[in-house]
Amino acid sequence: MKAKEIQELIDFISNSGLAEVKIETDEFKLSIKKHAEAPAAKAVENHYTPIPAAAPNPEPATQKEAVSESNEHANRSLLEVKSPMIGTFYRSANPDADFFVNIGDTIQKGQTVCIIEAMKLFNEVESEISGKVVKVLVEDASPVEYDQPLFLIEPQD
Amino acid sequence: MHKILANTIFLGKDLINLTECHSTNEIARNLIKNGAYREGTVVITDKQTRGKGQRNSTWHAATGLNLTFSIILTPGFLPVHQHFYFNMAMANGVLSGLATLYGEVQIKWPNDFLSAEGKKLGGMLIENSLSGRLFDTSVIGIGINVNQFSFPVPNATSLASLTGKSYELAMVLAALLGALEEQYLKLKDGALEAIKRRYLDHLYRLGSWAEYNDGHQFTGKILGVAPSGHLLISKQNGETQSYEPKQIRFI
Repeated sequence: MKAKEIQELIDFISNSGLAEVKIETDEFKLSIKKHAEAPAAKAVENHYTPIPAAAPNPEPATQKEAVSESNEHANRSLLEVKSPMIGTFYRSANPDADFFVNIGDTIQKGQTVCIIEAMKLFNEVESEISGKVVKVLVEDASPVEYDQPLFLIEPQD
Repeated sequence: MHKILANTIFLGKDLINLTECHSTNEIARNLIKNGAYREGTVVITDKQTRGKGQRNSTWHAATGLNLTFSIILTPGFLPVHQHFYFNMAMANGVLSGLATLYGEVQIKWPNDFLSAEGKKLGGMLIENSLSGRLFDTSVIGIGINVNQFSFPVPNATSLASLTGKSYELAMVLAALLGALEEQYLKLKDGALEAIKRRYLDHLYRLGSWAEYNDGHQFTGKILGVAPSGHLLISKQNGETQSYEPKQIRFI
């Protein structure tokens, strides 16, 4: 395991609320114990590490305004995120969590936008395009068909 | 449980052992988000405090007595429309693993495991991440009752309750990982029909009349499972219906 991976693992563990973690592989053994007094939200490191389970950060307002200028139903180049399967559409990971994405959010290719549940399998759907969410086409927790459009995205490079 | 002796190629070579966690599936999904995993990484805990069943239900496991773990796979070869074959392959893996320790186990559609008498021995919850029309990563959470003797509900059981002896959790894990890897490699080889046949061979109530409720109670007979995973039940008037898990209750 590289030093960077270990660093990321420690960040992940310190953000997770776990008290103790032991990892063992063919190559190494790692045991991490957190002191009870250590403040859990000690996010001192500001380098680029995604925080697990955090709500998607709203983009800075400036960026939003810049895009909305050219927008307003100018359907010129909106793309759809479609459902890959028949199932139930969920906008959040669980009923208590925030929505993965909201109208106006800028999303990246590969970002999770929703969950489709089918036969008790929970499927996170990743966006294949980067851009701004212009419209959410389906109500949370409603049934969707194969290939049904779920979101309208205004693509950005 | 510090050392496992699973005879596998990749499954369980990276083992993350947590004394306590909310849900091993959640930990596994976070590892994926942070890129801190390899295919076959296993997360296991002695105490799961907020285990996931279906979306709103929870899975209870007594501390240190039972097996609760999640495995990370990257079935990028599998088209999304074949997702139920993935479910069946993993269920078959659990079956085979348990068969070496106890004997034949039944699957209650879609992914619960029952003893021969029809008591619940364990369950499985799969969470995938999809990229376009293909799978990207998959987290398979499995809970098996092993050494617990008393249960808060009457229809549950454990390996120890069934056989009268206690099991070393590491041995149970090793047996399951070996069998899961074998079934996963079968899926990778495209043995879809064999996977479905094995799943149906162990399907609880297949071909026999029993009581169900789909809003109304009725007598029906399970005919099989559609490629989409829907359960096919024939009613006494000869009509066949297909169901999602939420639409039907076994009485």
